[in-house]
Amino acid sequence: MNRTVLMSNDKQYKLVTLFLISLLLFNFPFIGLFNKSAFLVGIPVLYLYVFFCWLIIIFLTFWVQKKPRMKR
Amino acid sequence: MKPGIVIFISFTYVALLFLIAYYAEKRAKSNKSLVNNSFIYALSMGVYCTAWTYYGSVGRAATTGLGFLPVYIGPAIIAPLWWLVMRKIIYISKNQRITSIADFISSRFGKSTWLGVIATLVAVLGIIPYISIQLKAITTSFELLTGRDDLSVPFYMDSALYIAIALAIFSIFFGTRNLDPNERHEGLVAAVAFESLFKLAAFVIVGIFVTFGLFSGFGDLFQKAQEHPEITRLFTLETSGITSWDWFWLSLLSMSAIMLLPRQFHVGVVENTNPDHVGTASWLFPLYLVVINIFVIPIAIAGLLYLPNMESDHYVLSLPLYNHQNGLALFAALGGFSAATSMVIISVLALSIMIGNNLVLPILLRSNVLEDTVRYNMSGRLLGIRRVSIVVVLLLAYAYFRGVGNQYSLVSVGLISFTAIAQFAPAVFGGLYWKRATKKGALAGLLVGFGIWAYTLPLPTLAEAGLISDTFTKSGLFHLELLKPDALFGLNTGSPITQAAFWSLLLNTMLFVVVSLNTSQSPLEASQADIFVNIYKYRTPGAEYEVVRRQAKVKDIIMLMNRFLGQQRAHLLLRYFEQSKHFDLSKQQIANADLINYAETHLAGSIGAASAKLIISSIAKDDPISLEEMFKILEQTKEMVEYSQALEIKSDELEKTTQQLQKANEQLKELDRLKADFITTVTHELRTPITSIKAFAAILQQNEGISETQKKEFLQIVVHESERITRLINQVLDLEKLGAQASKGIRYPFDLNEVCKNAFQGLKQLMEDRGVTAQLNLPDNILQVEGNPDQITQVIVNLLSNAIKFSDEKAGAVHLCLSKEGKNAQIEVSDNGKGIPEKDQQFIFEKFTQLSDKIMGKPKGSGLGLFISKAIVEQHHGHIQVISKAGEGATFLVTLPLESPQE
Repeated sequence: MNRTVLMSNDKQYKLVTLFLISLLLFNFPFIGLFNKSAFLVGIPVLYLYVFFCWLIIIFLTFWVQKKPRMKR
Repeated sequence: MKPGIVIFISFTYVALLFLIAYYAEKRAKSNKSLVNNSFIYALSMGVYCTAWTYYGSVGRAATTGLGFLPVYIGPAIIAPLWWLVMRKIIYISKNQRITSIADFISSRFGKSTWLGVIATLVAVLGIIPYISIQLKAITTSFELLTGRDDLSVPFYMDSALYIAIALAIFSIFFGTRNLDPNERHEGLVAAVAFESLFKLAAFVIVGIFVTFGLFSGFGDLFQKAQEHPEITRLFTLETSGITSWDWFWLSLLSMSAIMLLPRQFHVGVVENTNPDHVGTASWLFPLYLVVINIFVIPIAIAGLLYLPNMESDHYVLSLPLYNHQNGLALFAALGGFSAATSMVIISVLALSIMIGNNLVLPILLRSNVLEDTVRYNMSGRLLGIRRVSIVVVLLLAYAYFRGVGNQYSLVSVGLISFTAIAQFAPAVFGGLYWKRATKKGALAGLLVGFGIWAYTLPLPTLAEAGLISDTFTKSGLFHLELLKPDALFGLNTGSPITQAAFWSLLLNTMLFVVVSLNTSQSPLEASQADIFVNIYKYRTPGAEYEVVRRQAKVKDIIMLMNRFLGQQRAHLLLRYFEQSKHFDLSKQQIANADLINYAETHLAGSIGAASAKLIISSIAKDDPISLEEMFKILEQTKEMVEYSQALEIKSDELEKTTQQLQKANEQLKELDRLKADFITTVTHELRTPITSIKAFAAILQQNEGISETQKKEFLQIVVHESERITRLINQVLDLEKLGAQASKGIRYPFDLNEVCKNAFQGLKQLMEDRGVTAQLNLPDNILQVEGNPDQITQVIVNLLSNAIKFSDEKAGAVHLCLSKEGKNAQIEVSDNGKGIPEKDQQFIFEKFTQLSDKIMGKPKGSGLGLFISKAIVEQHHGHIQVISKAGEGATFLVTLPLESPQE
């Protein structure tokens, strides 16, 4: 019982952290670092940055949401 | 393409939706729900992506590059928090049976009717432009496919009107067929999930066609784009006209929109079948957004490269058409159609529920227009209201589209709606975590936020459309520069949306907080606030999904029964209930309807049915209104408890008094008996000498010839007996005096030597008469005691005369000795008589105790002497005792405290 509660608390902290990280990544000044006319593998770096961060956040959310089920 | 084919295919698509919805409802009826699935749940949230996403994103990307993205970045940022926030909202809504966002706000702030009405109006007015752009998108796609201009034809030829009618029919059919207490419409959800998949597939296929058909992949596309500087500028933010300020506010607006838009609230909260599905949706839905957004920029760039003179909102359709891919164009149009229809269907349903439950019904119930019979059967009436509202909302949206919407891009109209809905954010999120938030705060914030929104965003669009005078947009309201809608309070950020969002949300939040802090909550508000903020305290897993009318906590029921039926009886009743139903109440938290009814019935037995209902409803969560009454009842019960405690104390006191009275009565009875005894004894004592006096006097009277000697002897006896009577009477008087003197207390110091000497001298004659040898021993120094010397003399005389009386008849000897024993003076009176038997020693100091001795014959004395002596000695704080052995004489010892020299 206690362990589940602790884990669910952990999960809450992780999710709030993810929210804060994505809030930072998707806003200035971070987004400004890539706000330049440069290309990586032929694609503008700004586009790459945004979609890359987006996928990372999705993956981390998936990981946090899935983890307790795998342990079961 | 011929319009007939397009219309036919569109209607075929709608028929397909009917089939899917019908199938899903059939499955739901046989308990094999299609919708109870986290993937379907996440897909149904895809209703977020409307024609705005489908057509508008490309249009916006073609002018501002990544400027289309904050609307999807916002949901992606907040999605990790869904597990905390959205689940909490779901728990609350299931617990409180909330049916819409307006209902949620009204419920949080004490079920306020006004707040519900305002929130409904904000939602309806905010969403109508949004619905209108869906109709616009559908119409535009028709025009593009068929090549005719619908806006130039009369309205009855306008395809948008017929689309609106078809959507109204669909919504009415699946949304308002029957009244579900939980407002769940599985058919609609299934149709929406299908549409989400369909529009995604259609858009991605168009994207693939453009990227890999018209170009050879992303690299090729961007390379070709770089040759055009007006396209290259889209690759960075500032050059494309998006500032960091805009970016931040747009993502903030969409964060609130993804959760608070009426349709999002409907699919995400009201139609939710399991709160845990939120976990999956929080990553699956952002993933859906990524996929649907990947090809936005490629399509936009391709459009700019191929069709620079075309309207950019139409690229999704015009690119396939331009490349003579009519089939693909039709498929793409169907995708856009599905995006638009799903949004319209869910939005009008959500709005109609709001209008029915939070706007029309409260007004009807308040104004008493309804007959009582109708009031008890509201469900039919309610469905009618909803159907009418669906039609009205769609007609209003159509009217807005014809009047205004046609002049604006999809995205700019959509953002106006987002800004309106964001006004709910302070009340909803504040209400979720801040218990102190009050109804007045929410009302003030919402009204001001909505006012600023209306003044800065939709009103100028009406003015520009020429529907109202445009002087206020040009020179400000009342010609005040500060009130110009596009530069309110002098702030001009260049983007009307951003500055409207900034001012409305800032003042909304400020008023919400400040007014809340300066107003108080009603009891109902306070209890609702507690339920909302601490929902995890109130819920039991799974209980939300049972349609239970009344819910109460088991411990509350037990508390009530204990309070009103008494512990013992309540315990018995509950045990009986457990046995008859075969379950253990201690393992349950929430009482089922059975237990509630059982408790109510038994309570009704003891406090009356009306009160029982009131009390039960005060703890049953379905109706927490009567918290106030609950307080009152508790208050009264408390008073009663206090009253009965006071009674108990009183009766204790009474009992004590009764005991005391009884004791006193016993004492009185005893005294009475003693008095009677006393009188009997005294009269008996008196009668003996009187009888003898009478006898001798009679002899003297009747016999004249009695010798002189005899006469003398008889007279001697009469005198003697008279003396005895006098003595007796004196002693009785002494006894009385003793009682009186005890209170008066005439006391002074005197010398015991003197007293003893006097007493001894007084009796010297008697001793000589009797031939008793007497001895007096006195100390040399003065022994001073405090008290009444006459009384002490009386004691010594009494003891000494007793000693003389009982001393040996032949060679009698008495002895009076005074000595000092520590702090006491001791008077010792002894004789050499027969002594006093040990068994009698304890009685001799009592009243009228006379030692009768057969040999000694008639006792001599009244029997009061020793009693009086003892009383006198004790009054002088002294002590009297007897030491004697049968045949060895008796010694009486009197000890009196000496007066201390310093005094």
